[in-house]
Order: sequence, then structure tokens, then C-alpha cells
Amino acid sequence: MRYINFITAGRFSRIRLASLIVVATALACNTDRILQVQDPDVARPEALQGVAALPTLRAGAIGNFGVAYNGGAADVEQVHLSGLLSDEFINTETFPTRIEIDQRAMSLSNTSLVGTFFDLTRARASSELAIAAYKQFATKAADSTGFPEVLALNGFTYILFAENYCGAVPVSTREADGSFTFGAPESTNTLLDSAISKFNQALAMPASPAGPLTATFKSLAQIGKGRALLDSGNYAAAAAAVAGVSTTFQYNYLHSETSGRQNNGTWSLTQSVGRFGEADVEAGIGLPFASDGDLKRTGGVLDPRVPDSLAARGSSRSPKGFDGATNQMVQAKYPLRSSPVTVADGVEARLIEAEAALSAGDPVGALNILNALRSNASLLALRGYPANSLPPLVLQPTAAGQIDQLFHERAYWMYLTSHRLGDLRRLIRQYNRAVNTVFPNGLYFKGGTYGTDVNVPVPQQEQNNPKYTPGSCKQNVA
Amino acid sequence: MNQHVRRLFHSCAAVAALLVSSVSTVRAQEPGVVSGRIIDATSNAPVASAQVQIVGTTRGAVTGDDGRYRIAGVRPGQYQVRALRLGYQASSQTVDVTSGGTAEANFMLAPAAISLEQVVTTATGETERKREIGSAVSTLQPKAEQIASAQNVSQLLTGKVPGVDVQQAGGTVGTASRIRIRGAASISLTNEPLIVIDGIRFNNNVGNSGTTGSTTIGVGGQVPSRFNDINPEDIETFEVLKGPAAAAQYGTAAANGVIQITTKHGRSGRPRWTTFVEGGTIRDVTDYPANYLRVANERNTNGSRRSCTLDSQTRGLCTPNPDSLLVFNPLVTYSPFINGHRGAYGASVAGGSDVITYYASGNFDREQGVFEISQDQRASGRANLSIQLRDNWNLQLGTSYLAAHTRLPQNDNNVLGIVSSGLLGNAFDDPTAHGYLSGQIPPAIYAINTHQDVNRFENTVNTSYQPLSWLTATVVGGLDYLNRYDNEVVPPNKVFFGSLPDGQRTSNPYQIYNYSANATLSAAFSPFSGIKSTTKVSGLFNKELIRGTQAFGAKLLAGTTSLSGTTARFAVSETNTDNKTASRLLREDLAFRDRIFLSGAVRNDKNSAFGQNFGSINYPSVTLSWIVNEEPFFPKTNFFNSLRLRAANGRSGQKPNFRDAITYFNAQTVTVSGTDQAGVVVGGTGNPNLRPERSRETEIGFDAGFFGERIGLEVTRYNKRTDDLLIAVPLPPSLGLTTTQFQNLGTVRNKGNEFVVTAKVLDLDRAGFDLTFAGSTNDNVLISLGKLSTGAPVPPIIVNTQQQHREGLPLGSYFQRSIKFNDTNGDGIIARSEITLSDTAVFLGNPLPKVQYSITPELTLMKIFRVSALFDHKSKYKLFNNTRRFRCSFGNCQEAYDPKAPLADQAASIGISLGTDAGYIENASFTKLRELALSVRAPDSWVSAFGGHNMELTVAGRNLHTWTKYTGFDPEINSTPGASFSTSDFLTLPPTRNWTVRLTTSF
Repeated sequence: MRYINFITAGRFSRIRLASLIVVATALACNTDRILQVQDPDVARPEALQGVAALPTLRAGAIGNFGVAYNGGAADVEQVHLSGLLSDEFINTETFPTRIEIDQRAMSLSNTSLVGTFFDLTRARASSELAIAAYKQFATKAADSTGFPEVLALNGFTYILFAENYCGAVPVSTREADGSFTFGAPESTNTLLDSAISKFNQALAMPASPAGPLTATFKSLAQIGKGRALLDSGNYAAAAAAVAGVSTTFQYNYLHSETSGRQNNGTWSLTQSVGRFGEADVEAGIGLPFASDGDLKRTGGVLDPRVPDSLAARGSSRSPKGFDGATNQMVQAKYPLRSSPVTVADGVEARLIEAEAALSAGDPVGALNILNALRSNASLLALRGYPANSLPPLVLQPTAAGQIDQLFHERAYWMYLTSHRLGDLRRLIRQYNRAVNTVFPNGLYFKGGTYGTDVNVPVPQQEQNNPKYTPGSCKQNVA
Repeated sequence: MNQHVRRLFHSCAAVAALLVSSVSTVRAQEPGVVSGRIIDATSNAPVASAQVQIVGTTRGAVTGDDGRYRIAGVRPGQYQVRALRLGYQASSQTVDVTSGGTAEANFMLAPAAISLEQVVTTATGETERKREIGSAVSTLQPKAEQIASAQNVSQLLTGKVPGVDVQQAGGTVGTASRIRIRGAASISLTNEPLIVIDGIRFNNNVGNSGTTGSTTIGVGGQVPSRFNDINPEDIETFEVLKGPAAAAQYGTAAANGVIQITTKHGRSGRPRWTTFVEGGTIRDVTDYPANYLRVANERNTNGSRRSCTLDSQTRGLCTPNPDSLLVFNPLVTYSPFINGHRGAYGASVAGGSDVITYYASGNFDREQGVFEISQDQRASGRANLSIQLRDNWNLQLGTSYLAAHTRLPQNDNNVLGIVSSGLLGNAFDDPTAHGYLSGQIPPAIYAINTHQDVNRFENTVNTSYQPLSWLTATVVGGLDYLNRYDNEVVPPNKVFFGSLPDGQRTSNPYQIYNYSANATLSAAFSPFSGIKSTTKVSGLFNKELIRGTQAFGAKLLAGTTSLSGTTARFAVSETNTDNKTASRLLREDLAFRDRIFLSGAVRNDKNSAFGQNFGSINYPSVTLSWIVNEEPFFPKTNFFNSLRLRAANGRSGQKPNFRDAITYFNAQTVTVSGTDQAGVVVGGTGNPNLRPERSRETEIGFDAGFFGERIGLEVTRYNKRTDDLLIAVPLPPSLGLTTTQFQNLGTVRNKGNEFVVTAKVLDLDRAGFDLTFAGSTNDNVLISLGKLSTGAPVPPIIVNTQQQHREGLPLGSYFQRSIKFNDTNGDGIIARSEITLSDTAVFLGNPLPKVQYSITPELTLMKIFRVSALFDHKSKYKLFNNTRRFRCSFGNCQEAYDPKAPLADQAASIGISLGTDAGYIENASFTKLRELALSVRAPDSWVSAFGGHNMELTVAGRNLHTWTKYTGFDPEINSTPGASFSTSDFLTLPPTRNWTVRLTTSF
């Protein structure tokens, strides 16, 4: 019991000692210092400041646009959205969310649409981040390289929102201090106006070599502006906007094998995993893309602009799509994961001019433009089409026939470039066509019937935006 | 450890050493010995593995198989010696140790259904008696037959502890289970418990993720288990601290409860060897449904015949071709299943002297699953050393090593999955794929070699120094080091899907370090008669470091299997995460006459993942335990023998994940003007105000013994509230940022009851029958999701198409438009017009069971035969039968075509087309005969004839029968066991039926 006696006798000194232990130990441990950690894998916002960051931000804007436009490998992007909802693609897989798109019956909770919309808004925000940085840091002309390109790509994101979505697209922003500014739904025309504004800003920049506006970026902005004006129904202004653009001009997004994110998404979804097939007069309404482009057709392909083949998907032993049941006519326009995709080209400029001519009551002039494209040897060579593979068109006797002919040409020249859905909507909106004469309808080949969607809804997640009005999105309004 | 850590230790250690050395005293008397024997008061049999402690010191021993113990080097004086053993009443006696003498203390322990004297480990590595703790701590000491019937640690725990839900997600060997203790509380963070082995934190990541998962290569759903890296043979006890009330002292890690594992240690005496050999079968016993198809008279535009579902038929879209119903089952006709098997072999030795005791073991375990390529192989070893450095200073060293190799088959949500491909395949045989969807028979898919190699070291140091009788210093430190190698080879021209014919290689080596360090000073004294005060102050540090590399290449050169043989599409990235927690803990324990125990503590945590605007957090706790039956007023009756009342309240938390609090950009490669350049894409939208999730729990309960402690009853009621939930608030896509941003919003409540009834129904010399009935309830409710900065409430969080987090309902609830049907025209076919859906999605059920209980009978005859079983019941929950749903949407199920199918099934199938999966969200309640074991112990005369001590043969079975109304393969299936809430039966290999024979010998 010696220790117990010791304890009792020394109670107060012991308490003091215990207190000392507590205090001394606590004070000796500087926890803040040891909690510092390294994070070498990512870049913080402060690392993206200054002139030196401009090339990185520009590359980010281009890359994010490319992903939103034609995807990497994961899911549908704008090219596929446009193709599925229109008559370019049919669904040959099992995923219900993408079947919904092809069936024109998309729910707001369709999870495939979330990433698609996110990617496009991310592309918009990324280019706007770069634009803000250019404005802040590019004090010298030499620092502004690529600025018009970023502005133009930003404009194209607004065009894609306008052409493919439901006319109620909010534009929200994250401010420099980290706070959010939420946007209210914007109409198709408002979105197109925003696009035109961006293209005008690009075109207003000093021309190269004194300024950053190179011929390429100028043509890119011209075509973008013309496309937006055409979507607005301003045909003459659209034609004026694209005047002077070379027919063989191309602005391509360069896909690559370097990373999955850079892969040509259309290649991935078609050639690689068989999700979509080239449509052939879908539901009796669409254009005969598959038949005309059949590379194995006896007697040769009818139209090299929409190439496809039943057995082209080399990774599978089956000619069926992913669902194992549907014959998949595999598109061959993008035969490689690195095949580039055209964002804007001189062909589109001429097609805009042709439509303006038609609108101005000059069908012969329009036809001449179309036939000039079909016979342009340089263009055919650039595209890899055989010479004389596109015989001249003949003048259609009726106005409706002339419009059909023009839109047929647009569909084939600009196959799988996210133009077709916008065009079908324009046929309804600007040419007063009935929906059921434009969009596939009736019995859906996988069961059930087609729905009534003519555009893509803003996904349900946008309802987290306090300024968003869910009912403002009308999926059946062109 | 980096420089900062070293500095911290140096400074803390210096202070501690200075203080400790300043109060050390020198003693010169020759020490004595305390020894004795412990026997069963009923049978007079020796009681092995009983703990003997010299009260008030750090000294103790464990009895050997002969019931003997010896504690040497005891300072002369008068001591109280206490003997403890799970299943027995504790006993103590006072001994006088003289200089150089031996004091004998023998004990006769009476069996008891409730044992309050069981020792429980604290968060700082010390021990305390269960009677001193005001919370319910469940202790499990695995028996040989339980180990035999379990393939791994998860299964060992299944159905054993009330409040602990172990969900065996599938039947693939080497894969993980989902563990939930007292429900789930976190929407965004893990809900898995913290695992602590011998005081050291043990990585228990699940899922398919570089930062928080157990693998980086997905095979469709099932993932390897880190929890199962623990070798069951080495476990002395499990202690389950079920929530913050018990685990508050673990701070920012313990909100989901803690499973503390104590490994086996040596005991003084001659070496005692134990060996075992085990073999058994693993069989798939599922009846897989056939694929169906009926074709129409009509043809598609390409000439092929259209399929004609009952739905299309009733809508006039097709006319079924007569006698065209096709039925084929590729999983039967071209079965991929084999009879799996398992074999395990191991040996351990324990022994030692008065100064040093040791335990060493080695094990080898190999399992062949029910697919040819499903394999799991483990070799492990452990060495534990206990050294009595001085009479007042002991040291425990522990190390373990595991080498594991797991090969995983493709399955679940995977077009190349074996079960998936069969269940979604054709309704007819075909020459190429024989009905399998993948276009190939399974052996062709076996060319994909996905496997994981694990090398894992765990090292522990635990030392306790008692310089004065009232002052003890305890230091626990250690490292759990996991070297994980996830890798996959797809040889060229073997598997025909996507880019796989090119061949490809994925090689992802990961090193995961988990450092733990605790130092505690404990001062005990008696300020007043009958009152004992113990004050503890601790410093704690934990560091979790992940260093991973992911490398990929394609177009593999035939004959090569490494990245060196790849020639295209190279991709490489790294995962580096680092998380640190530094804590201070102050605790005060008051014991009144060793009958009333009041304990209060507060732990202060800082963590590197907290937002930069947030400082530290305090986790207070208080517990009260009152041994009422030891009070003079408690009546002494044969009926009602013991009663303990307890109450506890505590808080703990959970840290945000790495980078949740910061905004950052990821690199992306972009081709600009033909040249690859670095671009950026937003990676995370951070929140600098991010705080930990805070869980606060109150529990009250009692432990009671009846009929001479033959019947024990433990009852606990708990109420856990989790605030500041880290909610990944969906950001409006129009912001162009990430999909979510973490914010501290919302509240979840889990409350329920737990009980354990333990009865020694028969306790005779030649026959015994024990019965344990344990159960629990859990009522999980999302009280609030909080409000956005705009003031608007956070909208329901969509987990997946079928599950949502909605206020007022359990987390992860199933929501769909409900479906009603009536065959009004009586034609035996349900048409769309005969179906009514609710206008909106309605609550259909919760994914985690609200009620679970188990019954464990154990019969012993003539001390030779022992038969035990485990009946496990779970109820009041739903499971999404996505296997059936997807087969129907795929046009493969019977009810899509066959008018003979039940009307409810037809309605469910048509419901898919109408936009609801309600018909497939099923009642998953079940009762399973989970385990059955027969053990035969060889008579002592036989064993001793060849020098042995014990020999036992056990035959054990697992998953032997299931009673359920669930129509899927198994009501426990989960195709995403690594996910917190996403739960569905989706083309998953069901749990297998296993039989094992085990022979254990000790000598």
C-alpha cells in the first residue's frame, strides 16, 4: 500500500503535475504544420493566371468544345444527339436512355442527356474563361493568338444550344470570387443573338499579321455568323456573312488516339461498340443514307458523302449492333478513332448562299451553287470522293421540291456534323412543314411508337437553377 | 513520414519523456510471481484463453489450454487479481506477493450468459472492462466451426452482431460485402465502418475508384474486399463499437462505427502448436431462367421477322407467328459453371517465458470459384511478440504479411459478363455464340485476365509504461501498408468487342499507407474514499497516403502481356492523395465503488481535408454505467441475478474526401494545329467552408442476468443524428462546372433497438444446449436535405433511375410510379389499357433492412459432439430486381411473350414501356439457414496417445437454404457493393453454397 499512501500524500502536487502534462503536451504539438499535404495531380485556379496560361486556356476551350461536339468515348454528344433525334442514325443498342432519343420520347430524367448538356455548357464556360483571360492578360497583339478562335467556338456553343435544344436554355456563370450567377431560360433567338455577338467580336479583331484574326479564324467566324443568321431566318444576311469564304475551307476539330477523350466519339459509338447504325429512310420519312452510302452495293456506292457498310464494324463478328438484334449499317465517314470532324467549312458557306438564293426566288441560282459544289474537283479531292461521283442535280419543278433538294444536299454534305436536327426544325419553323412530314414517326422499330419530340430538353438537373422555369422547355416546338 | 511528422513526434515525445522520467522512481526489491489455474465451476474443465489481470497495473496473462497462467516479475505488495473470460462471470481475489515468492490465485469461473468483465480496447490502445463502458460494445470470439463455415472475415461477422448488417453481394470468390452498422448516414461519403487492428487503422476501401476504392479496374460490379485481407485464423476477438456513443474517441473517422480486431497473442509456457487443414466445395445452385422470344408474322423493312411481345400483340402492332415461342437457356445448355473448391492449411504456435511470449502463424488459402477463371489465393503470416521489459514496462510488437492473388471474372453490368451474356442472350442456339449475347461463348471471354495482386504489411508497436502506480504512459504506433497491383491483359484477336481485338494492357500499381500513432498519459488516483479518478490526455495522428499510377496501352503484340508489348493509345496518369488528422483527446473516468462509472471525454480534430475556412472540431462524449446488482439494495434472488444500466452520448464525424473542399482543373490533351498541347477541364468545384459530417448518438440500455446467469439479456436503444451531411448538391448544368459541389447540408437520423438473449438452456456434464437470439431494428430517415444558398430547398437527390434521397424517407428509397392491373377482358393477357399507373413516382421501399435477427442454437453432447447453426433473418426492405427487368426490356423474359406467364409478371413487363419499374422492386425479406456445423472432438485418450492435446473435425455448410418471396436469384445480391446506396440485383452471380471439412489439431 506504499503507493496508495504516496498518492494520498501527494495529491495536490500530483494534480499540478497532471495539469502540467496536459498543458505541455498540448502546447508542444503544432498540428497545423503537419496537416499540410501535397496535391501534385491537379492545377488550382491560381495556376491559370497570366499571359503564360493563355495557350493552356485556349487549348482547354478547343478540347472542351471538341468533346461537347463529337465526344470522346463515353456517351452521346451534339453530333449524335442531332443524328439520333433526326433521321441520320437509328439505335442499335440496349440502353433505354439513348433509345428514348431515337424514339423522340425523351424524359427530363434521361441520364444520357445530362452529360451531353453538361459537356456543352462546360465548353461554353471553358471558352468564356479563356475569353476573360485574353481580355485581362493579352495586352499585346502577340499574346492574342487564338483569341478569335476561342470567341468563334464560344459562338458555336450558342448555336448548338439554339439548334438542338428546346428554346429555353439558361446561361449561368461562376464569378471570379466563386459565387454563382444563375441565368433565366433563353429563347432560341436570344441564343442565336449571343452567338452572332461572339462572331462579330471575333470578326472585329485586327487582322493578321498585325492582329490575331487569321484567314482561318475569319472564315470560321463568318460561317458561324452565317449559320446563326440562317437559323434566325435572315437568309440574305446569312449569305452576306459567308461571302468570300473559300469553298475548300475547312475548320476541323482534330481527334486523336492520344487519349480516350480525344477519340472521335462517332467512331467509338458506331464502329467500335455498335450503338448506332446509319439510318435508311427511317420510319419511311427519313433520307436513304444507308442505301445511298452502302459501300458494298453492287455497282458501287451511290453517294460517297454518307458512306456505310453492314460489315464495317471490324471488332465484332456479328453484323448486328450492340443489341445483338438490329442490323447495324456502320457509318464510314469517320473510319478511325482519330478521324477529324468538321465544325465549319466552305461547303456550308455555299449551301447558305444557295438557300439565300432560293429564298430570294432564284431556284436556278441555288441549283447552280449546289451543282458547282458537286462538280468542284478540288473539293471532291479534299473530301476523298472519286471524281465525278456526284452527278449534277436537275431543277425541281416545285418550290417544295427545290427546298427538299436543298435540304437533301445539306444533309448529305454535312452528314453527322450536328446540322440535321437544326435543319429539320427549320423545315417546320421556317418552311411550314408538318412535323410528321419531317421527323420519323409512327411505329418504332424496337417496339412502341415514336414520340413527339423535335428538340432536346434541358435536363432535370437544371431545376437546381432558381431562375429556371421547368415548363419553359417545349420539346415538341420547333 | 515527412519532416513535419518527425518534428511533431520529436517535440511530443521529448515532453512526454521529460515528464515521465521526472517522476520515475527506482525500486530495488526482488520481484515475485503470481500463478494459478482457472477451471469451469460446472465441469471442472480447464478454462483456456481466460485473461488474468493484476488490477491497477499493466500486468496480466492468458491461460493456456490447461487453464494455467503465470505472471512473473511482480513487484512485492498486495494486489487484486482478476480473472475474465467471455461466457463466464468474472472473479477476483487478493494476493500478497512477497519478495522472490510465488502467490497462487486459483479461480473457478461460473458460466454466465452475460459477461461484463470482458476487456475492451479503447481508441488509444488501452483496455477497460466492459462494465466501465456506458455503451453497448459487442464482442465476438470466433469459434472454429464459425471459421470453417465462413470463407472470409465478412462472412464470419455475418449475422453475429445485432445492428451490424453484412450483405453478401455476390458469389464471386474474393469479392466484397457491404457492411452497415446501425444503418447508413452519409449520402456522399463511405458508410463502411472504420477497421482497427491491434490499435492500428486498417484500410477498408470498397468500390471501383482510385482514391477510395479497392480496385481501379472494373469487371462490371463486384470488387475485391480489403476487409477480407484479414486472416480469420489470427483473430482473437472482434469488438464492434456501433456508433458515436461508443466510438466518439475515434473522432473524425468513427461515424459509421468501428470494428476493433484484436489478434491472438502468446502465453507463457511450452510451445503449443495448432494446425488445421480444410477442404470444401463451392457450388452455384441457382436455377437460371431461359431466354424467350416469339416472332411476328410481320417483317422489318430489311426482311427479318419482328419480335412480337404480348404488349405489341395487344396493341395490334403485330400478330404472333403460331408456335413461334422460342425458349433457350445458354447457361444450362452451354453451362459455364464448374464445381468450385477451396482448400486452406495453416499452423500457429504460441508460447513463451515469463518475460517474452509469442504467437506466430502461417496460412495458405486457395479458392476456385464457380467459373474457371474465378480464383482467390492467399498466403499470410503473423507474428506477435509480448515482452515484459521491466516489471512496469511492457512492449507488444506485431507484424503480419499477406500475399493475395485474385482473378475476377467479367460479370454484372457488363456485356461480356458470363452470367450477363447468358441471361441477355438468344432464345435459340446459334453456331457462333451458342446463345450468349457477347457473340462468344464464355471461354472466349476468359481470355480477359483481370486480376489483383496484393502485398500487405501491418506493423504494430504498443508499449505501456507505469513509472508510478498512478501514472501510465501508453504509446501505440503502426503502419498498414498495402501494395496493390490491379492489372488486366486482353490478348489480341481473342475477344471480339469494341477495340478489344487489338489487345490491350492495363497496369495500375498502388501503394497505400495508413499510419497511426497515439500517445496517452493516464493518471489514476482516489480523491475520496470509494472514488477512483482516471485522467487521460492523448495526442493522436493518422495519415492516409495513396500513391497510384494508372497505365494503359493497346494494340498488344501477340505473345506479350505487359505494357512493353503495347504499341498504341498509351495513357498514363497518377493518383496521389494525402489525408492527415491530428487530434487531442482529454478524458476523465470516475468510478464509484467500482459500481458506478462515469466517463467524459472530448476529442479535438483537425484534418487536412477540411475547408480552408474551417478550423477544428470537438467531439465530446459522456457515458454512464451502473452495476445495480452490486448495490446493497438489489434483491438477491435466483430468478433475477444481475442488472446493469447504461447510457452514453457521443459525437463523431467523417471527413470530406480529398479535394472536396478545393476548386481545381484536370489536364487534358488537345490537338491544336496538329500538335498535342496541354489544356484544362474543370475537375472540381470546391467549397472552402466544408466541415466534417457530425454524428451525435445517444443510447441507453441494460444488461440483465436471470436464473443464475443462465439467461442473459442485453437491450439497447439508440438514436443517432447526423448533421452537416456532405451533400453533393447538384449544380445547374448551365454553370458549365462540375455536376455537383459539396456542401454541409442536411440531417439524417438512425434510431432503433438491439437485443441479445443468451440462454444456457441445458448445462449438464454430458450435454449442453445454448441458444442465442439476437436482433435489431433500424429506422433510417432523411430528415432534411437543407437549403441551397438561394433559400430553395435542395431537391431530392437522384441516386439512380430507381432510387432517390428524399426528405422524410429512408436514404436511397425506391421511387417509381406504382402499377395496378386488372385483366378486364379475361383473355389472360395484360394489355396497356388494363394497367393503371400512379400520376407521380411514389415511395416503394427502402434498400436496407429495417429488421434483422438471428438465432444460433448450439448443442453439445458428451463433450465430443457439437452441432451449431445460424438462422439469419432480414426483413422490411426492397430490392430492385434489375436482372428480370432488364431481361424484359431486352425482350428476353418469359412474361414479355408467353401468355402463360403470371398476370403480375406481364404487367410488370409492360410497365417498363410505360416508364415504370415498379413491378421489379420486390420485397426482399428472407430467412436463411446461413450456417450449419457439426464438430466432433476426439477423446482426450486418443489424442494424448500420440502426444497431442486436442483434435477436432468440423463439417460446415454455408448458404444452405433461403426462405423468401423474392423472385430473383438471391435477396442479398447487389451488383454494386462498393456503392453507398445504389442497390440492385443486376446480372450478378448469386452467393454460392459451400461445404467445408476442417480438421484442427493442437499439440
